[in-house]
Amino acid sequence: MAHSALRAVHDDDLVGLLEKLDLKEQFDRGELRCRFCEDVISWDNLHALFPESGTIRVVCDKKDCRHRMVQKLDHNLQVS
Amino acid sequence: MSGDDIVQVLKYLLSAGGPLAVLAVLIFLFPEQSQKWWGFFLRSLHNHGVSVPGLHKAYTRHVFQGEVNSFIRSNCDTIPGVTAMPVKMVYVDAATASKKAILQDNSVVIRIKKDDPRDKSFVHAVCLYVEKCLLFKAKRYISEPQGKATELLVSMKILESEPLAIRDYFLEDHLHPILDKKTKTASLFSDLKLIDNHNIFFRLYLRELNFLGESVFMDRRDQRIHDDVDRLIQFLKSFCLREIGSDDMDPYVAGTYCKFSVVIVGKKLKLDVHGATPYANHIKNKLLPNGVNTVYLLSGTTPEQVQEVAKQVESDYETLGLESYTTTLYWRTSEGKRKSRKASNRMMVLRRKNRPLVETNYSAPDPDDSTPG
Repeated sequence: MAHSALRAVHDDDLVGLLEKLDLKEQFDRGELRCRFCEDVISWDNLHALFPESGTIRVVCDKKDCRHRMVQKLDHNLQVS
Repeated sequence: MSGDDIVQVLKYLLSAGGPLAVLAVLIFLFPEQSQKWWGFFLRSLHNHGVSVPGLHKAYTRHVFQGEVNSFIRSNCDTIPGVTAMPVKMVYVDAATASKKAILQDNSVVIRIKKDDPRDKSFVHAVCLYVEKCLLFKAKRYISEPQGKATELLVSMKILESEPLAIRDYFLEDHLHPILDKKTKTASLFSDLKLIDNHNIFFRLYLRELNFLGESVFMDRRDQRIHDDVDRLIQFLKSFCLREIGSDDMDPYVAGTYCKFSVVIVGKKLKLDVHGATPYANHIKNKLLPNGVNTVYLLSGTTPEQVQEVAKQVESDYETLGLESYTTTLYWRTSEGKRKSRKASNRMMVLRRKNRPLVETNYSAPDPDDSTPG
């Protein structure tokens, strides 16, 4: 049956996912920054990952940044 | 099947197959509710300190899917398309994900925090789903305040049966910052809440937004669309607050650019003397020539009287359905006191046959003596 899909990563799998996406080293060195406010992304504030112009971007959990990410998503969530 | 019949079936199953048979049937009949209950059970275990690998991950997924899909089943079943599609929370991890797949899918991956006593991640997931999936089509052409007010109301309704800590977080983080500023969004939210209290938010307003979102406009004029939607909201608000016997409000509203109309089929004297004909004539002579695609008939009369209107225009409009719903009616006593009571109302949706693929410009019908009401 057709359904919509909301993709999520649980904390149990987050480190493995960051490694798979080649973001772990930047994350450990404190070089991974929020796409919108450029704050350093840490374990406490990482909110979501999204694709933009061929790269994976990261967003912090500040309200304004969350809102700006949603604004940028001008497409429907995946339907499969 | 009546409640008594269901009890009889369950008793039979209990005697024949035991509690497991009853459970299997309940899961089959109510899959969304079952998932919700299962999620609540797992959450309860987690909150009581039961430590099992994957417990938090599992309960978050089941509660999210259960809440959202129960909500869709109860409120959006008659609205076609993605709106009525069930949702799944799909976890990604190193084994299942790749950079290429995320880029190709163009999908956002939201984080679910484990150490999250207020379940903020759950609230964010619900709000993201509402904004970017459930209401994606409905918000296509409407203004930002209209879209935001609609999202907030829908998210609030999904979350209203959640524990207090989760509801409080939603209010703090999403709702109060908007309502405290007394903006257009706040005002619209209040209007839509009123419309929802009278049970026409989903069956009429959201349904029309979805129809609007499916439209293709040849010469798109955003401000005119926004004005039409504002007019629709104000008409529905007036309809909800009207007093029986009062002539204060117009008997119908029609978009000047969007192809919808809401017609109140109501005046008892008119119905008793002339029947459905004035209303059918209004649709045939005023709405149809102006290309109105969707007509919503709202009425406190009998289903037969509303069906008669639909019958008289059936060569041009097909009936999508006749719904009965409970609303609140108001009236003034002889002493001038405003009173209220619950009552049953009817709504019928008429959809024009042979609708064009692309909408062209449209002007509102001129008010004259042949308007109904």
